[in-house]
Amino acid sequence: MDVGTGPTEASGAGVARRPAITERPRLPKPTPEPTTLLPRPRAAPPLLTAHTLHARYGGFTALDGVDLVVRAGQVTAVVGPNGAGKSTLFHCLAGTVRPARGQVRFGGRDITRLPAHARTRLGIGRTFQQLAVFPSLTVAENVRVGAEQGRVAEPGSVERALRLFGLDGDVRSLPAAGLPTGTLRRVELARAFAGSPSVLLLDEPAAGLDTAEVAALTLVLRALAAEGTALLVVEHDLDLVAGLADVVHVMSAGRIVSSGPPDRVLAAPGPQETPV
Amino acid sequence: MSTFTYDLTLAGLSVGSAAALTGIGLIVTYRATGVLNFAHGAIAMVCAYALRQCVVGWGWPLWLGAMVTLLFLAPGIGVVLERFVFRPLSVLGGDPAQTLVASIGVFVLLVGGAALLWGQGARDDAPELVSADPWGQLAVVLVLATGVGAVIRWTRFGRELRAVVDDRQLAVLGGVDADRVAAAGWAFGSFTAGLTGVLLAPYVRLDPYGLPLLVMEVVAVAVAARMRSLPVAVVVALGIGVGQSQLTRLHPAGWRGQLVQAVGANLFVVALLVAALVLPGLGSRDALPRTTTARIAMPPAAWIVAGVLFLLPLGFAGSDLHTSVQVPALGVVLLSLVVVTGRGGQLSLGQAAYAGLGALFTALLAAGRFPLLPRLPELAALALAVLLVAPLGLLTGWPAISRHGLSLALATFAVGVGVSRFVFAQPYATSGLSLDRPSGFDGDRAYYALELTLLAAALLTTHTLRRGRTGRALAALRDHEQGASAAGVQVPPLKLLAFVTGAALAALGGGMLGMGVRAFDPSAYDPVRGLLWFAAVVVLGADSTLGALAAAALLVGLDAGARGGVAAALIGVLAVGVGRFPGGPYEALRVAAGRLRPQRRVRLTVLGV
Repeated sequence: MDVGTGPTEASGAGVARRPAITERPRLPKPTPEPTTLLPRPRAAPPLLTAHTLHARYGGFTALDGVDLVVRAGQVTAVVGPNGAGKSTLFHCLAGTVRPARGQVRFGGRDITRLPAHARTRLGIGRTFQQLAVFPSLTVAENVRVGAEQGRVAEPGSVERALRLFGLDGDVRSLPAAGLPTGTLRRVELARAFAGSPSVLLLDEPAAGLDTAEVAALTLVLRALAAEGTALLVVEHDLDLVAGLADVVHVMSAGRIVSSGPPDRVLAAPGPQETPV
Repeated sequence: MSTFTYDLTLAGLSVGSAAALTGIGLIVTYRATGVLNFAHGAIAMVCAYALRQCVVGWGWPLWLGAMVTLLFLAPGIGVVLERFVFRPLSVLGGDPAQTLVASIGVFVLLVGGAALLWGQGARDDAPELVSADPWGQLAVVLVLATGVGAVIRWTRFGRELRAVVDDRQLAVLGGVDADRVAAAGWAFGSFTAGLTGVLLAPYVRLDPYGLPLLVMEVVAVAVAARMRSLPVAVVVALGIGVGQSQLTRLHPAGWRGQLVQAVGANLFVVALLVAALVLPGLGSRDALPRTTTARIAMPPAAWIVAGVLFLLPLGFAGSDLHTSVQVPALGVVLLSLVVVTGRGGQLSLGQAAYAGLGALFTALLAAGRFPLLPRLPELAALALAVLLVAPLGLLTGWPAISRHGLSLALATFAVGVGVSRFVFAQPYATSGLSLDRPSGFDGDRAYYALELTLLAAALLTTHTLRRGRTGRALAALRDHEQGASAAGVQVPPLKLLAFVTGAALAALGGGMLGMGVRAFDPSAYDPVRGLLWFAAVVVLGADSTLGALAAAALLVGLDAGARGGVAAALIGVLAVGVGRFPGGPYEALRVAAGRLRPQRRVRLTVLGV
């Protein structure tokens, strides 16, 4: 019997290796958890899925085969350095950019070719990185536009949205022009929420907010997720992502390089941000 | 035969090189200042008149007159314009509607000033600077094009110029003296305008209205070159010039002959239509959402005052009443601009065309000359004309779906010019037309009462459109088109709705105007008039129906009362000042009144102090 020699030619993935003497005897593996006794908690149904998205700007490949799942009741975050393709992925999901290849599906339906306003009416709301509020309308009217043009025109959705985002005080009748950034971020979120979307796509929602506002935003977004809305957040603020997200995807150079719960993904050193 | 072709080609090259010069001037001005200068033609006209004054009026030698005009007057006009009109606007952020209005204001002011100084008649003794054969003019064009191209691309000044045009505040932070660079850019742009005017004037009529409009029609050449490429502009201009002269050889019989003649005489307009409508829109410099001020709700007292003022003319008599008849009609036309531009945020420079079409269709229907339709009584003719013109709003609405800012302005301007040249100016459509008032409303007072009813109906339509779900959606579309689309607003159908309603209202107003003067006068609906109406509405409060009515009263009243052109001059002054007072004169008054009031106690609100 050979002592400590290397693998014979018949070794490979499926061939059992004869243990060398120097190796400690392996203990038998414990039997796996009995799965038939307790039902494993099911993952929430995927609402919005992206399948092998490819996108190009001229000769530059922005997305190189990206798969993504956004589930109901969960907050999915996408992080990565600038130029990784986060915005392009976001635009493909929101409907402002058409991917060169690949599919975007919403509840099983293929919506790759659907324009943005049609997706909103299906129930996919979105916000903008650079605030998109309507300055000539009041705060309440801004939210009302979202309610009237969204998926479902519920009578109480405007009030509900204003209350949830703390906008039902005096500020509701002020014109949106000239209000501070934090308030306007809330107005935009309230407008997206008032359309009763089932999926919310948020593009850097914490940009321009101070610490207290970020904390308040985290609470509100968690509440939305708890109600069953699926949230996708593209963010640079890793602390916000750590406190908020259920699943984090790290993107780099057009691909998703790492996925998982935030404590595992964000702790590991990797291409979360541009190296200094 | 070959010499005939050669002669025609030479003639075409002449026309083409003049057009190329204009195109170069427009492109250079656009790249040097960021503004499509509608006043380019007016500056050309002023310089041509000035040269004529120096040489023919005061007897100076040609070289001295040319030097003074081209090296001092033309750049001087440019520097003054930059300092007082366009610098405040660019510092504010360069909203395309306001910049457009300011350049229209300059146009109106210069044209009115020239008419006051030199009279409205045409002159034909303008001095010739370069000889008549096309080679001289072509040489000027080529030298200018290559020189400008070299400066912009290879010199440091050219780089600074491009930086200032792209983002003035950023250029300033980078150490560029934006004021000096912008002034130099405007000076050069005006120099090319002056050169165009001086070279063109001997060969076309020199008059205050014709020359500027002629120059503006040639804007097709610049648009076809995407406002960037000088060689393309020169080639396109020469090609169209030669094509226009070669078309004169064709003489097919019958209606084809008339069509060929119409196209041949207006080939530049055809080119403008193609360039503005068929070619993809100019990459509008990043349509940033406009910094709209919040709408100030008019106190209800203002409406009562307006109502009383509009009822006053029922007590007038004679020429005062006759003049007042135009006010409600013009008010309805301006209401169409409130819907399209004020509320919908879509620049529309072609509303005069729809007004003219409304008047034309009413006249044709009332005379029984409309194909396939019987003769109708006047009121029914007006109603049917409105229904027929409304779908034509799609002519400007369809391009609006994918165009913004300057591209849209050019597309609507092209439609306005096209309709004016190919429909109103064609004798087969408009000869021998008369337009009577509805029976029973022949007298001025009775007709005025009818107009008030129609105005009330138009106001009701506008009010319904601006209220409720559609009104909010339109305001969202105006304020942030992408945000509106993301909020679920169906943007393309909404834009089409705005344009179709605008066309219907303009047609109603045009029909009323025509019946008021009892004739169809094509010059009352020409594109320059459309520019003036656009400027008036934007200046007096684009989203305000009361502002539109005030603008109508102002335009009619000033023109009738004082010397002709005063209304235009006043609108010109206000338009030029739109940089200082972006919210209109009402806002300016409010701000001034606020400063005069004693200081209130300082409170900290959610908006700050």
